[in-house]
Amino acid sequence: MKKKRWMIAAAALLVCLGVGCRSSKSEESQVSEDKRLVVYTSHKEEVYGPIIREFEERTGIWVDVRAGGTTELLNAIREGGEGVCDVMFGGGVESLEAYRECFEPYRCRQKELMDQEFVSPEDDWTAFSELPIVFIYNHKLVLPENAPESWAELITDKWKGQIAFADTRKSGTSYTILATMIQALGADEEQVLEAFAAALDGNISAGSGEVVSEVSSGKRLVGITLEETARKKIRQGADISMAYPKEGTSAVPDGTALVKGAPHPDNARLFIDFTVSEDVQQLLVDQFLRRPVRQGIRQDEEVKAVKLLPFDLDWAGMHQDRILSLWQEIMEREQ
Amino acid sequence: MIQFIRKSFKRKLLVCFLAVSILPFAVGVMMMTQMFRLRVAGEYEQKNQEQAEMAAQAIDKFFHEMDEALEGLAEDGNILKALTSQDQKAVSGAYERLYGAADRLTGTVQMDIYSAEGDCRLSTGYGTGQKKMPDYWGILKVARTHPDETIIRDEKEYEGSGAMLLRAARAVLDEEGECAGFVVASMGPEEIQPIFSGICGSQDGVALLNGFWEPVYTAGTAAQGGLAWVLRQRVLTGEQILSSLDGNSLYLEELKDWGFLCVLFRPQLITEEIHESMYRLAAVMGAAALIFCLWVSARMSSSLSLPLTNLNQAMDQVKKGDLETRVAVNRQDELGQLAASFNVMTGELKDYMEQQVSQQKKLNEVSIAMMQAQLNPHFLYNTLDTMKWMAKANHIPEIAVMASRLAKILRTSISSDQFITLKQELELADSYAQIQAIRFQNRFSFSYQIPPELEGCMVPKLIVQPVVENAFIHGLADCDQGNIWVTVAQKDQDVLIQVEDDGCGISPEVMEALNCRKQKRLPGRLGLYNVDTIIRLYYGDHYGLKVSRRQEGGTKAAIKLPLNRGEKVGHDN
Repeated sequence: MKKKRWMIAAAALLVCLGVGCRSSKSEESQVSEDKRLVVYTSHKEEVYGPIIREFEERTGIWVDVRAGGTTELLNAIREGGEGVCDVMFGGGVESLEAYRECFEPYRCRQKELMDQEFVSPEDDWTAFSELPIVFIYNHKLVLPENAPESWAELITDKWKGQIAFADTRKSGTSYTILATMIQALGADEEQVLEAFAAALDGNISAGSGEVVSEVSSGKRLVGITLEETARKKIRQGADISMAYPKEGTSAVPDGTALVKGAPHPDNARLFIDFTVSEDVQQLLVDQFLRRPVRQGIRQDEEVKAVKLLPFDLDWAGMHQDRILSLWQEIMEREQ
Repeated sequence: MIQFIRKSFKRKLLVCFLAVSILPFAVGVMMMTQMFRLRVAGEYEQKNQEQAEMAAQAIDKFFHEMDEALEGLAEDGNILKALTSQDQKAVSGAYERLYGAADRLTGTVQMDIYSAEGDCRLSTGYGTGQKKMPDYWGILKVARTHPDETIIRDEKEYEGSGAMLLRAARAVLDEEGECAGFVVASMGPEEIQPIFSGICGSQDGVALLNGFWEPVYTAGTAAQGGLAWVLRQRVLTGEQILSSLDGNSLYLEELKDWGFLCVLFRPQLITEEIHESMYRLAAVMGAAALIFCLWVSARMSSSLSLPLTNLNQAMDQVKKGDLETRVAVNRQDELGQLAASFNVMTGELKDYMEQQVSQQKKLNEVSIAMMQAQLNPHFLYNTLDTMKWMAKANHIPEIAVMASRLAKILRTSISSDQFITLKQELELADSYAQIQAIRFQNRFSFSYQIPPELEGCMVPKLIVQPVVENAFIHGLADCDQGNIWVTVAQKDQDVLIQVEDDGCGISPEVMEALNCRKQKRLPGRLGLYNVDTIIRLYYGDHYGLKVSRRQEGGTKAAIKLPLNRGEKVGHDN
């Protein structure tokens, strides 16, 4: 009995001391699950920033953003399992197609207003913007009449060692360029890749951004990149001009996809609808100098019509791994 | 462990000393630390909260000024005119208003007028202002849908500095109440910074967050390493938002009118380091106290327990039989007294033991002597036997009778049995009487009567014979003729043996002395006294010898004994 009383007294003392240790800060309520969204994006911050900010303001949904490279994020989605990420925002649709097992089909609500060219046949993804591949050249060093005109020209010795092309391990666009080149030339893929590798002469740019800056600074004379990137740099005053290949080019859109097992699927669908809404698509044109995937968007600047190849997306998606490893092999051989 | 401690008095003392000295110390130090912490931290926190309120009020005031300024501009006729017409005069009038408003605010706030389509018409900035803002997007869209409010939102400048911008916009309404354009004020970090100056010191940080806890403006410690972003992460992960961050305490104030949050970063007053050093100091003090206490209590407990241990060991020695053991007495307290008493006790014990040993020795000597002496009675007995047969051979019957009777008495008296039957006892008395009859030439007669059922009754030997002897020697001393008779009777559970004579009678003094059992007044009458004493020793005071005078003359001695058929008395050894 006596012992018990002692124990109680000791316990009370400890509790008092323990309470003293705790700070008396108020607990804030957490954001409820129905007001959350997890977005993985490979877009640059200047693209996803305003869109996500506006989405948050308009819907009141808190968006948790993870930015990174397309491949990195897609692998993270594949390895992270379900219940982590809601939406993959960005990445060429051929990449999204390649990871289609990670995504849940979703048909955006205004599909009929979309450019039918950029509609996923099985609703695996929703296109975001059209991204034609263009040639750029330094207009101080290369005269307009000498500007690169065709894919065929690029695999000759004409621009040997003068072509800026990003590392395929870093840039998703680079694979699209290789696939476009193969399809545009219609030749044996290995021959095309070998010839192109020879024309590069071992010079590989670190990433898509470097392609433009290397051409602009005159380190390389020509480069292959996305029209959007080129236009933006031109607006910022880079010394480059664009040229469209005469065989035609691909305009693989980037897209948005609903991740399978998304923890907040309703908000994810809301977000996907938002990316193809009139406001976002208009902003795309006005601010990001991209081509919209939705009909009826005002184009203020004069944008040339692009001759598009009948680009086989399925083929590109299916053969991505094989062609990339083949390219890697050839590049190592070239070195 | 507890068992281990319990087994030793010294360990118990040690533990008690430790508990008594360390526990209050530890509790005291802990309480003091906590009290100090709570009190100081409480005051500090309150001060900081006030400071955070001040910061929030400052930014709130700025926003209200901004609101007033934009309202004034939006309702200004010149602005509307400049928007709706190309009138140069109206444009310069509008510029005048814009610069004036900007000046009243902080001077460097950029004031722009946008058309309803989002084209920039007038700007106080120098060319860096956005030439077009989407009217379907962001702040202008909200301003259009809420024409009677000033909307303040954060927007990031992606082209150029990449800084966060704070934008305030208000729709300019024409006469029909339609949106004719917008007044937009933009400010970067440089414009916001002066608002907080004077509130935040160099150690502090301040963060202005939007409704989604995204940092809009950060300064000081809040700007370092994206600390402000941690807050949003905490909200999303459900952690304690305002728990300390990178050595800073956080204080939150909401700007309810504008949907912003103001968070003040103040260095933690009691940092982990201070905490640690406080505890380290306490630990060092505790350790010192512990060592001191250990030393003192070890000394105390051994000083208390050593004499006990010594005593205990000495006790063990004594138990083993070493009575020479002594304990050193070198203190005056109770333990010293105990030791002294122990010494006295062992000394006395030793003396007693020695005495016992010497007594035993004496006893042994006596026994040996007795054993030696026993040779003589046998020799006497054999001699008497020889005398008896020699007398018979020489036809001197008196000598034969005397020798055989004497031998019988001798045999009974030297036998080791303490108890004999009453019949044997009476036969013994008869033998004695026969010898006396021969001595006194049959002047006296002796007879006895015993009921057969009492013959086997056990009595201490030689209790009747002395009484009979007394009757012969004293009762019939001066008579020529006399009779002595013994009767035995049972009375209840007692046996009454009466020895009577018809002699001269016993004198009253002797009778009284005998009956009162006063030995000293009985010179020469020890025989009777001894009988009485023997009986009393065996059976208690209730039994014994009573003497009385017979009315017819003569003496009657009555021996009262408990009836004891066969079995021995408990006292017998």
